[in-house]
Amino acid sequence: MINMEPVIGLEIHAQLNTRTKLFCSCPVGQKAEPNAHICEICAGQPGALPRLNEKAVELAARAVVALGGTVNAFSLFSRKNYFYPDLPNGFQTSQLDPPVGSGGGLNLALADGSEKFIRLNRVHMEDDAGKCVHDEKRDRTLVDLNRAGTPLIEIVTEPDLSSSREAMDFLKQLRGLLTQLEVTRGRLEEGEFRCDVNISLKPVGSETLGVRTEIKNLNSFRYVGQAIDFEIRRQTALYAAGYAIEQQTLHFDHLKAETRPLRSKEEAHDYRYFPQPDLPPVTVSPETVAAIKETLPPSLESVKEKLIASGLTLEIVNNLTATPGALDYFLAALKAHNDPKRLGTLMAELFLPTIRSKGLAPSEAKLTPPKLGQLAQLLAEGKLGKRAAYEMFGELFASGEDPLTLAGAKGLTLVSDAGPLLEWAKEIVAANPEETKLYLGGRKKILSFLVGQVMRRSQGAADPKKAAQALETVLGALSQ
Amino acid sequence: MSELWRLNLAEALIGLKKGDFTAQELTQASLDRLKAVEPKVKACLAVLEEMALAQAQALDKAGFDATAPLWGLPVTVKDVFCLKGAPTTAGSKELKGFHSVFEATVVQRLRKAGAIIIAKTNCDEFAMGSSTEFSAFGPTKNPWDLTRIPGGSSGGAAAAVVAGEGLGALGTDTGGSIRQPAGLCGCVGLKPTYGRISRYGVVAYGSSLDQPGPLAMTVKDCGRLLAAVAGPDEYDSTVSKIPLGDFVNPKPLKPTELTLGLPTELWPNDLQPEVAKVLTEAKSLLEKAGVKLVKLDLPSLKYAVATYYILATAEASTNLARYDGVRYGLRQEGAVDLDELYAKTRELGLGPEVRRRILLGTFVLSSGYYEAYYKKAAQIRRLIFADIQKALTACDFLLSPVSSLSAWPLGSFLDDPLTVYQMDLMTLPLNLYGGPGLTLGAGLGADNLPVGAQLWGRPFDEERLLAAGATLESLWPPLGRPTL
Repeated sequence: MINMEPVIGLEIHAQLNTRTKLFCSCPVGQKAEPNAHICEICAGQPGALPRLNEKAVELAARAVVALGGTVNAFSLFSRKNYFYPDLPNGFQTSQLDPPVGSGGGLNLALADGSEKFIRLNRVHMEDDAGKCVHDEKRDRTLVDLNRAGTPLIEIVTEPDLSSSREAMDFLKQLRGLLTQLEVTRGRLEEGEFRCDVNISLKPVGSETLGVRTEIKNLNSFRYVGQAIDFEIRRQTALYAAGYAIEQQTLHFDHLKAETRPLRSKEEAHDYRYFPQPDLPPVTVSPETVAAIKETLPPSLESVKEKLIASGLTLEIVNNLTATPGALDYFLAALKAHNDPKRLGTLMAELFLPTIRSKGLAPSEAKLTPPKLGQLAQLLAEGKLGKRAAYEMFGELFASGEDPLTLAGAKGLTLVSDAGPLLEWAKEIVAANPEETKLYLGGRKKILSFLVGQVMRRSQGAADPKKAAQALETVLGALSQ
Repeated sequence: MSELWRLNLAEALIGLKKGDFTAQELTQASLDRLKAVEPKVKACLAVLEEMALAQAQALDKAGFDATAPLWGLPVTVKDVFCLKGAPTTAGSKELKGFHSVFEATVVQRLRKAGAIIIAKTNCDEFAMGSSTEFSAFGPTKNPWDLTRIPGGSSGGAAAAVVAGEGLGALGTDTGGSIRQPAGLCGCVGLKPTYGRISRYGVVAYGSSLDQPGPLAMTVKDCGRLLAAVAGPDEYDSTVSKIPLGDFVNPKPLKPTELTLGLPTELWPNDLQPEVAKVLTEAKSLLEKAGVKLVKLDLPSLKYAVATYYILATAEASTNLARYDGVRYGLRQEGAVDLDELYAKTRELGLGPEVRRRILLGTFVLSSGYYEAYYKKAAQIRRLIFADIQKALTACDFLLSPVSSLSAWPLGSFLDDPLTVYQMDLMTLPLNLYGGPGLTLGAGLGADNLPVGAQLWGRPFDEERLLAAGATLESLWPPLGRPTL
């Protein structure tokens, strides 16, 4: 049997971080009673006309620039026609050709430390639909138009992804970037960042793509992974059994972790796209693009390169960039104590796992960046042992206390005074005549054993480096 | 009964200013006239008597305001304009009893200018038609002959002006819907440049072609109405910021300063004899006065009707998708599922002409047909634009008939939509072009029916168009009003 490999492309919908809707002044994204945030425009009343929210265009252009694409000086809105109760105009206002952005891509960090460039096809703007809510008690479907008209960008990748892992990592990285740029708030649970997955199989090495299916509306990275894995298994099994793959749109049932047909090719909508006559072409001047480039924080790529050059591993860097806000936190902590390697390790091993487990954003942690910097400094100065630091981290994170104070209170600061260290060294040397003899005979490596003994004697309070120095002093005196 | 309704806008404004009569007296006179003739003409779908009189009273109380250019003047608006206090039906059963939650920009501007809206006028359903016979609420009658159509779709507006139901009117023109009824009823009608007047709050038909505009008894009155409602609107991003010009007192143009182009495609040999006779006489009056008439060709016009009926219906098919019975308007209860709710509601609510155009528009946008129809039509529209633009460099304005027939008997073409579509050739190229057009009476035919002529201008050149229109008006015999 021919070996098949998956070919995956994504269509990501990100809600733009605007105060108002795409074509009217109704507020966006606020909790409210159903249909509290609607007007004649977003509710599709006779005679109403759209007027474009310039902020949305600016954010879309910002995303395009950040993703290395071309901002089209001239783009058009089109009407995408279909009937649904949550679609008040009977059409969605979207962009077909030309879209606001073309091309670009993202360097995806792979698990093996290498990178893969994922090309983007396009970025376009569109408005969101409302919601249908089923009222079980009265057996009625009700329509809430609060979300109708919310501005979105759709980012369409080329079919450059090859696994569920890659797709999930790509989404995390993209979301990290777009939230860092404040293009979107990117809250998955609010549906502010969701995606459709296109997936097909092709014989390994072949250039010809197979028939694809599209899995609609996934709003969790985990579901994306599960859906892709299920779909790969399903399509592989069909191929193996000699059946043709049918082009269809699928729905992912996250309870059963399986995909189910939503509609087949024959039932596919004919959207009858045509240019929206109520909106003039969208223009973005070269000056605007230049201004966006000016205000854009250094690209993620260049920040990453810098961090790696400063001694961080790719794994830690990816860890920092995948969590929204983590990079900012890290950079702030660096200002308190400029030791990227030590701080990066603290972030990856202690701070990030803790905020993730608590479901907090970095900025919400009581432990502020300067305090994490202090912790790194204590470690660097040898005032605190690594083990002690890890032991007290939970408490430190919860209280946000000064690390030195907390370590002192818990008796975790290291003893580095020559007095007690010399006492312990003498004691240990006296208690281990065999090893002392070996050391004096030239087996210098035995020193680490003796240091360990001092550490044990001090119940971990001794600074190991200083303890070694004290032992060397005592042993040196013996050899004379 | 007071005869104040006979005044035109300019005359009435002078009387109001001098205090010869009050806004209330004028409004009452127009309302009385309306009530007297409406049973015959049926120009109106809603009469706003209480609101109008209250407004007139408030104006009188505050005193004449010279900064309000339409102070105290009773007018009507076509029932496609959204306003509060009366239903907005667009002549459709679908919107019977529908009350808008907001007011059209032009309605707000009318009120701000001091105009008093006394009624909403009848039209073909969703402005699709040339006779008002496709109004779900019955046709309007031509005031010159009550057995004949007034033209359309703004037939109610034109008939109301001529019958004295209000001193002026606002209509809309997508393919001739102001100019053709103005011609058939014998008043003046102006379709401004696309993008001159806000469409916000105007029930949409063909969004890239729709344009509101005034109808009145004189060219000057149309200019005054235009000045009050034109100009940029933050709620309609297709309105141009190009300066307006002086529409109230345009710089006059002498007959000897005018060169008018006569496109051969619009002066066919088979014009109805009564129409041809009046227009021939009208042309000779112009030439005698020193107006230069030149023949020219607009070869792309042979595609104009097809192009229009592809583009306008495509836009209409999606503009009307919102009438689905879900949020407002008519809803057929008892549907078993969503598709049936849509189908039954729309079958019940939308009339035959509207359904015909939705089907046509849906077809030309469909996958597999878009390239052959919609895309081609959009390309040909650019050719037509270039053709007319070029013609308008060789002359000041184009002059054409408005309709190859004078007002025809009600019911003549109900089963023959294609013939009626073909007749739109006289008016719809201007909508594809985008420029302004002015219809005015050229004379009365032997059949005692008005015959109109039409001036076509360059985009945003309304001031000169109004000046040229006033010159022609002074050279041609006044039509007066029919006896009702």
